[in-house]
Amino acid sequence: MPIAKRAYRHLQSHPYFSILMIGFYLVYFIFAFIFALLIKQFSDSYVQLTKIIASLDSQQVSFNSRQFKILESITTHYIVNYRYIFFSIILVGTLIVLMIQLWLSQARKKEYQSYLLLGERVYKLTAQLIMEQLLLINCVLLLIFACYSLFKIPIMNQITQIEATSLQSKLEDYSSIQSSQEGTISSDFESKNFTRFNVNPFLKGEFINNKFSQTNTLIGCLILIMLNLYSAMIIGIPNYIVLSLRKSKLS
Amino acid sequence: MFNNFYKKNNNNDFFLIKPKTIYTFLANPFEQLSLISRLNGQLGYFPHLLAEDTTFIDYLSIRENMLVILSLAPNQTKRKLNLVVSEVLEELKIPDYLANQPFSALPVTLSIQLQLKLTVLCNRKVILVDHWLSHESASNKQDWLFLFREFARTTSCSFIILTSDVRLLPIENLLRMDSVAYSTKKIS
Repeated sequence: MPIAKRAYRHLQSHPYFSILMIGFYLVYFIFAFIFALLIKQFSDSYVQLTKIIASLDSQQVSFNSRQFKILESITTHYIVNYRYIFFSIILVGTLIVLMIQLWLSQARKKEYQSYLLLGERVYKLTAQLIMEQLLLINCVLLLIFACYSLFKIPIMNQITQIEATSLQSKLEDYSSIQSSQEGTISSDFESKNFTRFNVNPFLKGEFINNKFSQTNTLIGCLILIMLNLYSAMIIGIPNYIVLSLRKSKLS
Repeated sequence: MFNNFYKKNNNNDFFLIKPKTIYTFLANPFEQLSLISRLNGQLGYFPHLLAEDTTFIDYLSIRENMLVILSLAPNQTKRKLNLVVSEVLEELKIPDYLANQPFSALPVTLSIQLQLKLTVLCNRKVILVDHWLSHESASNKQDWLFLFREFARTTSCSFIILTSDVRLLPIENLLRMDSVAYSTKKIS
């Protein structure tokens, strides 16, 4: 009897457990995905801004490039923040997965023991456990991917909206600070009503012609493989250790 | 090499388990695991643990459980496992609809008989009887012992009965953890 079928049968006969795990993975991946999108959006803008600054600098129009430099520094600030949040989400998720696996190894103690007494190898049992979780994880990833490709435009609009408002609010802070220092420039600054939306045409045009979107499927596959490998490692290593401890107790 | 020799010698001397014999082993449940591990060291495979439920994987059907057990056997038969399984099911008169249900659907008597059959097919020579036997009624106990005796006589398997009851067997063969105290009386 193949290992994959055993894994499938376990999920099938424990529906509540499967639904709970799917729910957990869904929440976890959606949060991680949103922050990954935000990071990508901000870093795209950052790339655009540096290009604009470089071209303005080469034309030696220093007065204009100054505002873009402010925008750039704000963007960097957000990128760092979002990265921090993204990695802490990943860390917390990993820890929770580990805890769940340890709890499971206690809850399924009897089953493991009977497998080991029948003479099952530890690595095969570990492979079964990994497969159970990977089945759920890939279902969730497929769901998220399908949703994303269906609602790509509203989602990206929403993300752009978030970016615009956050930049706007920061920009207002900056201009208020600047107005106390240099009166003349800031009035100029506000009269132009310089916001994120003025910069948007630059970014949008580039976004559509972006070569990045063409290689998106390849990157998606890579991310999928990476996620699978990562979760296989997270699930496999503790289970392998626990199972070999159990086995060494038996023999 | 010396080390290897020593180990082998040591293991062989640990228990003297003769075929076609029933032993009792006075133990609390905690000692069960260490007994299993010592038998594994001696026999090279785990003894079959004859129990009411713990031997089987609860999310697999009876047929799937049998397939798993047979495919993990130490000395595999060369025949197709599906055929072997159907044969056993037919022999015990277990209908197909029952075979596709989890093991808890099977009555205890049939479950024990099925386990005995599987043990023979897996070429395991030592059967460890779990504590469930102690909780059976006196007449049932006698029936089970009779069945084991018959089984041991016909298949050259030996039984070790885990129990806290000293007077379980009329002629006790008491197996102890220390190697000196084994008794070699046959009852068949």
